Amino acid sequence: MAFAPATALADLPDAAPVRVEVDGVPVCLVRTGDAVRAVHDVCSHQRWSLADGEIVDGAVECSLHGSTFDLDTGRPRTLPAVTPVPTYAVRVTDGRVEVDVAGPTNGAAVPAH
Amino acid sequence: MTTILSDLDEGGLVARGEAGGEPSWLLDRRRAAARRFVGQAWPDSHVDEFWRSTPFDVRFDVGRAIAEATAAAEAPASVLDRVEGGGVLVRVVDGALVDVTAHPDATAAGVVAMDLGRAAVEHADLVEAHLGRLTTSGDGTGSDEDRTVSLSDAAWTGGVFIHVPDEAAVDVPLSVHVHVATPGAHLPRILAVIGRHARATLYLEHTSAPGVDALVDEVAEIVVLDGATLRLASVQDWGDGVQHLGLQKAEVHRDATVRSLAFTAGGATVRLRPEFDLVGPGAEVRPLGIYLASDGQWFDLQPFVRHIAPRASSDVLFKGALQGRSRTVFRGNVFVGRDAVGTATDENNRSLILTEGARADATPFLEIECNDITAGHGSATGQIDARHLYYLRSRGIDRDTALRLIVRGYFTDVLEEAGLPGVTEHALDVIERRIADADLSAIQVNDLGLREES
Amino acid sequence: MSQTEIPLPASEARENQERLAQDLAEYKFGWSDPEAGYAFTSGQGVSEDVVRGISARKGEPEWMLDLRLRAFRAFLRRPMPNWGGELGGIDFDNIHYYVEASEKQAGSWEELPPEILQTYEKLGIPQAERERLVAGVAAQYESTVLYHQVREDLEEQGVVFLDTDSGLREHEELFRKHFATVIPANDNKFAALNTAVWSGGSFIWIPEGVKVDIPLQAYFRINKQNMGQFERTLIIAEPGSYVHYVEGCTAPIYSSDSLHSAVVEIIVKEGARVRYTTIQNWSNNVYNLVTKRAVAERNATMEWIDGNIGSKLTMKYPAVWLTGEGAKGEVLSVAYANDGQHQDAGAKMVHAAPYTTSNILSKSISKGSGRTSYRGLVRIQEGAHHARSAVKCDALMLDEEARTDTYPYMEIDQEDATIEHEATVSRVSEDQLFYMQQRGIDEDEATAMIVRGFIEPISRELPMEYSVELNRLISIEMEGAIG
Repeated sequence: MAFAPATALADLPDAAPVRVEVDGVPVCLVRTGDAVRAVHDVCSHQRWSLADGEIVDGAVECSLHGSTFDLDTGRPRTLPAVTPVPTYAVRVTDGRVEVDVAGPTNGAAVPAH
Repeated sequence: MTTILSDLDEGGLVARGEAGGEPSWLLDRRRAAARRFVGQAWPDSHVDEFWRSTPFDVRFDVGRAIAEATAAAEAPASVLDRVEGGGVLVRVVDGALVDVTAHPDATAAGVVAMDLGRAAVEHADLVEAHLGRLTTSGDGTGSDEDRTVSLSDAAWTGGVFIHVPDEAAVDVPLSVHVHVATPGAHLPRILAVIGRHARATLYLEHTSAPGVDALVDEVAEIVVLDGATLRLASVQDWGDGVQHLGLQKAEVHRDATVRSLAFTAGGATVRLRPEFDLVGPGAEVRPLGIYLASDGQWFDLQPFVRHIAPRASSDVLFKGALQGRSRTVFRGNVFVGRDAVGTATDENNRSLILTEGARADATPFLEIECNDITAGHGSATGQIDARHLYYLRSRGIDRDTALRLIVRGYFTDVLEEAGLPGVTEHALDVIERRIADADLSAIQVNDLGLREES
Repeated sequence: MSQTEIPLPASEARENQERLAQDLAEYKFGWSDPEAGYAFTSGQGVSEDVVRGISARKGEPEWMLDLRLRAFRAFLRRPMPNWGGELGGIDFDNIHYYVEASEKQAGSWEELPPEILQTYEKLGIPQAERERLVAGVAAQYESTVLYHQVREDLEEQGVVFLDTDSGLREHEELFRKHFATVIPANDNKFAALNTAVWSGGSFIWIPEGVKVDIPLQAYFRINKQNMGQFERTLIIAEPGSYVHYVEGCTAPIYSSDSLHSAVVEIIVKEGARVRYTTIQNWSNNVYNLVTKRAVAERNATMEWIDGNIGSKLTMKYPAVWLTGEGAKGEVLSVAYANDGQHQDAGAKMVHAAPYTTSNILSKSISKGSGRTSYRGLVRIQEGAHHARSAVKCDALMLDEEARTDTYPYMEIDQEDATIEHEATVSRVSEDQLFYMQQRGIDEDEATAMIVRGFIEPISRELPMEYSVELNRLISIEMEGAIG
């Protein structure tokens, strides 16, 4: 595990995606209550930031073509995406949010467009 | 001057031109282009159709300042060195014309090869008539809508002017060799006018010193007047650190013929626009292309043929081979206007995928406003067919040699047809070297055909 | 360079000449029913209230309303496409988004209200019904399905064939599982609009292993001026099943612009096969913007047969996402554009699994100042090894002012993919015309025969009464007498 600092919990609005960069990797953070989940911030379908979209039912919707990615598994619930986006482990300590981008927890490959 | 490209204002863009004492009409054009540049945004692949396949912000670093020529750098050998008797060689290194090697045959024929800034004074009639005409096409086909072209129109340096007079028959090749040895942004500019019924061979060579990181934004305008015959070649032989934007556009007049070869093997990113406006009836163009992409390279090749006049013909053939994690995009555009009755146009693209990880996209476009024509296009992507390999091996040729023969043979027809002294030999060398460098054991063949037959 | 060779189907020509003699020589569908008892209309324009109104009127579950609202927000946010055809003429505020006819669904032909029966007589539907070629007919009048008849053996096999509203009501769990998974609410501006205001369309579910041997059909048409049509179709074919769904429609001519923005989602599960045939004949003030997409799973086959005639502008790219190993996708597309018409159509194939194959055949014809554009995508994703794809697009330009474009995109991320693409452009040769005129066939009919020959590889795949209607329409178009 290689957690690196991402942002402060207080800076994350509830149920809205936020883009941060952790060790040069674009990450989309979503806060639900006091828990935070992280997925890679590039859609697996086309080169677009997932943080530009909205949260729907525990998934982040890519605003370009509407695929929703489950925040726990990274898997797309709808077309046009067919490949999952990497999910990353998140740790919240004393109001600090840290993300481990070294190894995706779901084993998905980083999208290469 | 250390201002990066994105931050250049009107004054910064035309500073060099003004300092060089250029004629006022030329400065006015630079200023107009500078104003255009300031009001434009860099290309966005989500918005600009012609940039759809190549993300500008990822592949091109515009955070560079225009390079200043430092100490005189040694340019590598030209392809003319392989031509018996040589030819006319114009060398541009780091934005300055460093020398011109003349050839008696060319001199006798009245060929002019000189610095573009000087030519704006000494050959004002020709330069004023043609410079920038091909980049500001008013028909919305894209040339004047691209910020990278406005940049060249405003701030080009180390320009070259070539003139082959009417009726002159020049068999020795004329070559413009652009060499980059200093990091930064480079804006080479070429204007060539091939006179009525003249005959000429023109090469545009591009090289860089090892380890140099540079952005090269090049515009070449080539006017081929009535009845002229031109053999044209552009050779992209850059080192690994170069990002190249090249608009190499020819305007082909009545009954003129152009056979061209765009050879792309070097550079980290090359976006090439070999374009042809067929403005006179009976114009004929044969745009050929060869590309060799290796690990890490990205080539976006966009031949564009516009049939504006009637009875013109065009036949595009681009062939490429890819290995490693490379990407090529073939974007062939053919536009046939409503007055282009009797047009005959064909376009073909073939990409050979040698190893895993390579990606070849193709989008051959046709836009046709006249029905009295013949038009077609074809595109194919695939691997080496195992049957070809099997055939050679059954004749006692080992696998590695057989693969070399197949890849070489794949390009031979294009090179033979192009018939460009010096360029052909050079291209074959590059092809051989690429194959030699390749991990032949990693080359994959497609055995579908074999399995279907057995 | 190649010139298309166009065969002359002589026997077909004779047959059609006979039919022509019987029929009216003018476009007989150019009329409008007098205000036939509309029960409810949402008024002109769309807003959140209109969306809520539609959902409330249908008594939908909360999740569907939520989805509609989310889609509506996406519709407002998204810009108009800057590609394809000229969309500037659409006035969103000048359209009725939901209209309901007065009568409840009738149980059989005899129970249809008289004026509606009149409509169908004019369209010649009772004839088709008498021929008993169809298993079930769902007629959509305006935005509500009025008439729906399902044959007994289909019911016995467990096949579900309902209008979409009933599908949601009676099979909510199944519906919710698949709805908006193939085309999500925010896929594109017009799919978002459809997801917000959809009404009508078909819901079809074929149980495992069941093969429906007779095509299921649907008829619908736009009637009221400024009527928007937003039907939503969802077809689910369980493993090993087969169904052929056919839709065809006509629309009367009127002066203000009309919008048809449908969405069709199809899920073809393992080893199943679905064929979806469309022959559309919209009058030339209709904007026909459709999103049609299918998912083909392991060893499944999806076939789109798409015939686009008329309309002011059609933008339609039937798509297949090949997500299972061995899946096959095919699109046969015919597009015809006359004066002032623009057909921007094609296909999309996305190979997302190994050993998948796709085939696209596009035939387009432009007459007068009509414009046809083939726009297609073949995408081979990394990992989809041993994929094969072949695309052929042929364009026939009949007149001097005609225009045609070909925009094929090939994005290939897998080294062993075999991809082929070929396109030709041609026109009717003087020789062919002369030959036929020598045989007493006038120029218009000769051209019609040539056009029929040109599209024959596709028209032969159509159910007979559709290929007859298509041939008839071609004759009418060649004579240039469109009402």
